[in-house]
Amino acid sequence: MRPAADAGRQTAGLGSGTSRKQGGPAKFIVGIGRGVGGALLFALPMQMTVEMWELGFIIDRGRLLLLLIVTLPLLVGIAHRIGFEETFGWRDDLRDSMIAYGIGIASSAILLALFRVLTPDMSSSEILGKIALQAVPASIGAMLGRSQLGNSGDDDADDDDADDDETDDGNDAAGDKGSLDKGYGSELFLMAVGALFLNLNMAPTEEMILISYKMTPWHALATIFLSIGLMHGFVYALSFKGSHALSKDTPAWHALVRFTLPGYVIALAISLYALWTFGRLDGMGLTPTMMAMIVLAFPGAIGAAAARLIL
Amino acid sequence: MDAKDSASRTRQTLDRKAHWIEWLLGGSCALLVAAMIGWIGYEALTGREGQAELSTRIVHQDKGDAGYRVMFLVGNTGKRTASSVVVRGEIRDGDSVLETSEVTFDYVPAHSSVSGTLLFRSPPQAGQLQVRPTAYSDP
Repeated sequence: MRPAADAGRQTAGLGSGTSRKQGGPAKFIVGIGRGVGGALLFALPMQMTVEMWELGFIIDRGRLLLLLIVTLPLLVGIAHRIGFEETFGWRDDLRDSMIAYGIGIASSAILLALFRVLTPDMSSSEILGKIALQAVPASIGAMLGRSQLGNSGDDDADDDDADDDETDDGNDAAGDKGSLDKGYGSELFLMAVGALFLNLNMAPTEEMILISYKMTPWHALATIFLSIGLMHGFVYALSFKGSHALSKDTPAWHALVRFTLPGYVIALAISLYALWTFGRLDGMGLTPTMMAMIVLAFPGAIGAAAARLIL
Repeated sequence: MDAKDSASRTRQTLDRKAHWIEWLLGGSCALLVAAMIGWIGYEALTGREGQAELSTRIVHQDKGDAGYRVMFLVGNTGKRTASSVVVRGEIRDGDSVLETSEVTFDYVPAHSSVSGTLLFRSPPQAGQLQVRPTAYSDP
């Protein structure tokens, strides 16, 4: 058990091999492999979705550009927050992000070609658009791959921590790095990543707007309350491992105002951004826009709440 | 996740004395959510089971390779979304129809508009151009 865990720990990062004393090419390759695994896990549902293929050429190029640019700080943030210990610094985070982006682009190109969604007779703009769009979720997946498919890379942390990792791997990876020392901002960032995780999968599909069209405002109201209730219950009341434990003298509404509601607003904002990026809101009035946002924020809220268990 | 960890997390993130930024952000988020609930609630209370109210407006006409283009907007001022909206364009000369063209929209949401284009072989100016929605279904 111990050798395996150690090997896993030493190879935890995408590019960790190059920046670690004990690193080597083999470890670097394992890191890349994890990234590819994460990219597949996260992006395959989108790579096999017809709406995403269509969006490759439909999507407004300005919005695509914005999405591609916004992805970069997001990747750096994930690398910083989940990837390595703080000592690693922004240069390493940036390098890791670029590797993840590269994995995202390459894996998207290969898979789309495999599915024959990309063929040589297509225009270069269409091919580029399809790959670029898929590269965004795939690169996020590559980045998350490390924390989801392995432990969180604490090789030179203290022994206590290492033992913890070994016995209680998944849980420790979930709670270990990030939530402890960095406080409120990174809690919210984690929730945003979790919301993106589910939102990106669902936002391109027609069902999101179709559901919002089928709903009456009463259904939307119920969805809002269910989203907030589930979110709050999921993490704070049920107190899963890796989530908050409420101290006895803290009233429940403290956590609601300080964490659940901001988390829900984050899920709403990400839903709105995703719908706008994919052109689902064009020409829509205020109320239908809100309804679509509320529908998509439902999975977003679940993702945000679960983020601290998954990541 | 040992006892020490959860204790320090509890102390750190769920202390009674949170940083004022947390309360500021939390408070504004609560306001935002309340405003959204208020708006949707208002819609729920005032919205009688409405119907889609469709109308079309021609915004532009020109000549392209595939024929004469007539670009138009379908608006829905009603409270209900229409799906599979068929819009038919006719060039008429008195009682006789010279040419028709048709397009189907997946959705025209409530209080929203969607744009589309009809193509004709003969110039729309040759007769009287009429563009109107002819059918829709409930989503």
